[in-house]
Amino acid sequence: MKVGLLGLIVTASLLALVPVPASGQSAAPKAPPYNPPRTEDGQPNLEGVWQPRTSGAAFSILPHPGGFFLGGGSETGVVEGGTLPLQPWAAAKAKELTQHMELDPTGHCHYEGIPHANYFPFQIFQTPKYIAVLYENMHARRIIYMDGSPHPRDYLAWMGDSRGHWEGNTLVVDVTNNNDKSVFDMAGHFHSDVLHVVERFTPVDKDTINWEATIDDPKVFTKPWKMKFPLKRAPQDFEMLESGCFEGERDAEHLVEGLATVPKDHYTEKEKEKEK
Amino acid sequence: MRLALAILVTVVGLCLAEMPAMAHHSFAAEYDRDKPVKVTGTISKFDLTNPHSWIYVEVKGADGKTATWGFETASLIAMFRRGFKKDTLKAGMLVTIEGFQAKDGTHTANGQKLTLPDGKLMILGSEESPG
Amino acid sequence: MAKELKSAFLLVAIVAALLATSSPASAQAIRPKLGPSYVAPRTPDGKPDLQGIWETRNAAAFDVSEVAEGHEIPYLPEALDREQKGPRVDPIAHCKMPGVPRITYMPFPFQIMQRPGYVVFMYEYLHDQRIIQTNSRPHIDGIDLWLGDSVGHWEGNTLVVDVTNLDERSWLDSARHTHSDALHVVERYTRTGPNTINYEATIEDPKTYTRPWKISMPLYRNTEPGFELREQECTEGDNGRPIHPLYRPAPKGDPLELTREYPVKKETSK
Repeated sequence: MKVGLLGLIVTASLLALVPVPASGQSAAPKAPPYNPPRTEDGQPNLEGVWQPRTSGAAFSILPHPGGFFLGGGSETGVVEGGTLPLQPWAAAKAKELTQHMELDPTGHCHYEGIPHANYFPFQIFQTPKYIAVLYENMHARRIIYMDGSPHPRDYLAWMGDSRGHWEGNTLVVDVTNNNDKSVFDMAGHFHSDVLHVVERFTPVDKDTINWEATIDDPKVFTKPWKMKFPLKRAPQDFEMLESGCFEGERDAEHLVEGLATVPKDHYTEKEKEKEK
Repeated sequence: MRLALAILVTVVGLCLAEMPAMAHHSFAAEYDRDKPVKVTGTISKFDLTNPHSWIYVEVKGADGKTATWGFETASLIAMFRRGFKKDTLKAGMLVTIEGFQAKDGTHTANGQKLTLPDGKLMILGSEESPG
Repeated sequence: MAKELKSAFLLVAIVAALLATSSPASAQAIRPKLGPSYVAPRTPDGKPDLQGIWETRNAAAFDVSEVAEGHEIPYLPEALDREQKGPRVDPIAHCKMPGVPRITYMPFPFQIMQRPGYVVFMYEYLHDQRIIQTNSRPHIDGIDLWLGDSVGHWEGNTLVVDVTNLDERSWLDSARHTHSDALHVVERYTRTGPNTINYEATIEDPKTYTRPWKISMPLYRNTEPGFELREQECTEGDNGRPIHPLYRPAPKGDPLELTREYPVKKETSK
């Protein structure tokens, strides 16, 4: 009797150890998830220079044809589902903005904001209390505070304010305090000052990070939507260089004295016209 | 098949590499695809700078008068990575340069190709990516 | 008698020796050694730790000769002449980068970050940045940059940064002290205490000055709890006049800070 019971217990224990494939699945083994090396203080190491592969998101984040000075085009765009859930008034404004490229803020040397800045090369540095992301364009930067500190109040900025934490190997960044002036692309896609972006940086191999973001702006869109594209590690000899904007003489002429055909205080004048 | 794929990947790679370093103002709004220009003249100034470099060329017209043409090209960074340095183009060099004229009809154009005195061709930009 | 005298002399000698070798700390009340002999804490990769947010507190941004050795700049006569006949508008009034060393003493804080092989300067002013490699790589050839090309290396407790390729259009201050494209700046950053760095820059330009000259100043650590750099940009304002908005919220805990909620409702936007 004793042996029988013991036998049962042993067998049951042994059976418990045998992995049972879920019904319906093949027994093919899955590749283990990538485990990146660590920094000295134990964070997954995302340091280095990264070159985003966005297929022309700077021109449009939606699927778009290539063309004269419009890049090679993109069949998918970088927006999940290929469409934006714009509120009707916002869809109309977006269309109107495409006719006013002189208002594009990057043409006036403003910072691109998040997510726009992420379409171009940047370098990540990690310290125990913050992660610094230095962009080549416009020498923009943001410091992602990892110490649990809150977003500041009473502060709006082009690059917003970033606070982050780790979820396993994924860096999750919460971006708020965005002003309403940066844009998503050159196809009229804009946002308000309640824009809230949650980014996820997930390393998938030693030279690739999958970047995705949830964009939430209840003043402009009917619901949150997602954007994603991969980041590729830049070649060893690629060095980020100084990328000024005002320094180009010709542009400085335009910017300081105002483009001849554009009102000097663009935003105010456009609002005045609307009120007429 | 593999070779074709490899070529495709390289071409795509080059196209990606040609992505403008900066999504600066819309070139499509500023320059006219239906107004290609090609001029020969002497360089008066080469401004290798950000966000766009400028090549100023003195061009003698049919009437004997000299006009200054300004060709806008890629950023200092993009040009540097293509091998340009501040003394690559010197004042006094006779060059042929082609591109697309500005919509406002001035002597301004987006520079695409430049031919040096020794016949060497330098790519300043491409129809898809002005750089 | 001679034996006692000998002992007395020996005693005096021993006491004198003790006094001579005793550290000043023991001679006075306990006081930490400050100045160049201060040994800074180390980063994990063994380098002097210069990290933190630092500020200058002097008038160099108005006139750099305030912080120059001898308070004068040794101009070549022809260079001074060229300067006086040259452009009269400060490039930073058109939103251009201030150049080196002016970026250091602009009246805005900057943050130093160190990672193996790098020292990164993140300036609040214009979001400027200098990513400096500490591997003595050769200088870039053939282009001019407004903040130049910086190559770093460590000499004991000092970070030495060699800067060339500086665009000739930058000014050293708002008093219109200029330079040529031959400008070469060597900066030295040395921790001198828990909250100070000694900053020195040797400025050399054979087309402008008769000899190299030196500026120096302390950098003071910003110790305000919770202080963070904020976004600072230069842009065109009304009438095309450049403005430098700096979005700095009220300090943490300030009544103004606590009463406002994010997002701020702006009735009169734009």
